[in-house]
Amino acid sequence: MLKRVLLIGVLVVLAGASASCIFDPPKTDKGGPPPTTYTFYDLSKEWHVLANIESAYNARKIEKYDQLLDDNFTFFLYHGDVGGEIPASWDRATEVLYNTRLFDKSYPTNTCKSISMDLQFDPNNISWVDVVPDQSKYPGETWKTAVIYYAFRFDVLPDTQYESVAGARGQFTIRNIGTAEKPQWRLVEFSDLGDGL
Amino acid sequence: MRRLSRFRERRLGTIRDRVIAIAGIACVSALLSCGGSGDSTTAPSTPTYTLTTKSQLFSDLTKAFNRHDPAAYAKLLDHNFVFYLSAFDQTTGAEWDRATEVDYTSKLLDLDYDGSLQCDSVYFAFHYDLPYIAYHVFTPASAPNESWYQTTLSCSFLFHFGLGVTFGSASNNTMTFVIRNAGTESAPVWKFVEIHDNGSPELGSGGKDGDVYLMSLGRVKALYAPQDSP
Repeated sequence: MLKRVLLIGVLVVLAGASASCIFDPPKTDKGGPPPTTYTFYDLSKEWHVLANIESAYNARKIEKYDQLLDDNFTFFLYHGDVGGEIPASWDRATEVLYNTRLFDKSYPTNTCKSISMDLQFDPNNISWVDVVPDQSKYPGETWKTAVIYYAFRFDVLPDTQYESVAGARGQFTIRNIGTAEKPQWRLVEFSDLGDGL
Repeated sequence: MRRLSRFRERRLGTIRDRVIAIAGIACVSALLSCGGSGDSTTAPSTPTYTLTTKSQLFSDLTKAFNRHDPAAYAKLLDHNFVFYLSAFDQTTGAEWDRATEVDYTSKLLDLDYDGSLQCDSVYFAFHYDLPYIAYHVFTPASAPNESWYQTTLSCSFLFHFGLGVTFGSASNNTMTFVIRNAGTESAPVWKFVEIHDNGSPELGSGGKDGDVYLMSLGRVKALYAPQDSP
């Protein structure tokens, strides 16, 4: 009898706690440090890609970031960054390598001690535009692309902080590697547009 | 008695089972209603994490100048704000405080200013080479529990006055900004606590570019200093 009562009590407490979402508090923030809990979605919807990028950065989860990148991913750098040893773009392997180092708090060079990433989008109101990729390489495919404002802040040891300028934007292009019935969206291109000036 | 006992056992058992079932259903439905745990496909009703960046200050400063809005500019300044003049303008003093900064800037931006220094047109812009700003983070001696953020940016301006005189920035004009958080960590309120007018080496010769007299920003503001000021 006592066991049953305890069990019921635990279930009721669990139900109450779950209803109030104490295990997954809202992510809304007024600008301080990123939340300590993160949500990763199953990439079955377009906006999941954007949400998971933000969470992967803030949680410093390279495996989650790796998961959302398409096999043929390309990162295009802001035109002002390009020059000298800085290329116009790099591939998936380079992106994963650089982000692995960025997310690693014990990486010995330019150690990033703090990351804040904010992709400014409304999941229910993203202006995705259809784009047709190179049909010789991706026959029959149509990708989707959207320009999103974003803000970031990286604290790098010993005493430098890199923070996005107001109006920084990125163009995110996604690709469905699943089926029409069971879509699986991946980030296939990310173009850093800077502040558009 | 035995029947009653069995009935009560069955009845109690049924009640216990129902309570367990109801609690279980409540638990499952509550978990589902949370929607954010695990691999949910439900769009959240609230936006995701929002980052308030210091760079918004520069955007707001630009708007305040170009819209002739001294009140908006004053809101960007910390209570302990100090404006440092460039080395080329030391004749007017090395620095001034928040009240003086607000006073001079208000007059500069006042379209109805009564006097020969009525400025009828303002252009102000920052020039970002990169989509990010690098800040030097340091702990000031005056606030050992705080981190302040310092960066130097290129900017240009033009002020056209009613008498047909235009003052403008020289090329390579830069200013150094020091920013502090006047709010809290969870709700930051970024403010300029220092602005250092670096001017430009070209100002040393007091040059002119076409019809534009090259000036530092501090020098333009100092035009509104009381006549008995040095």
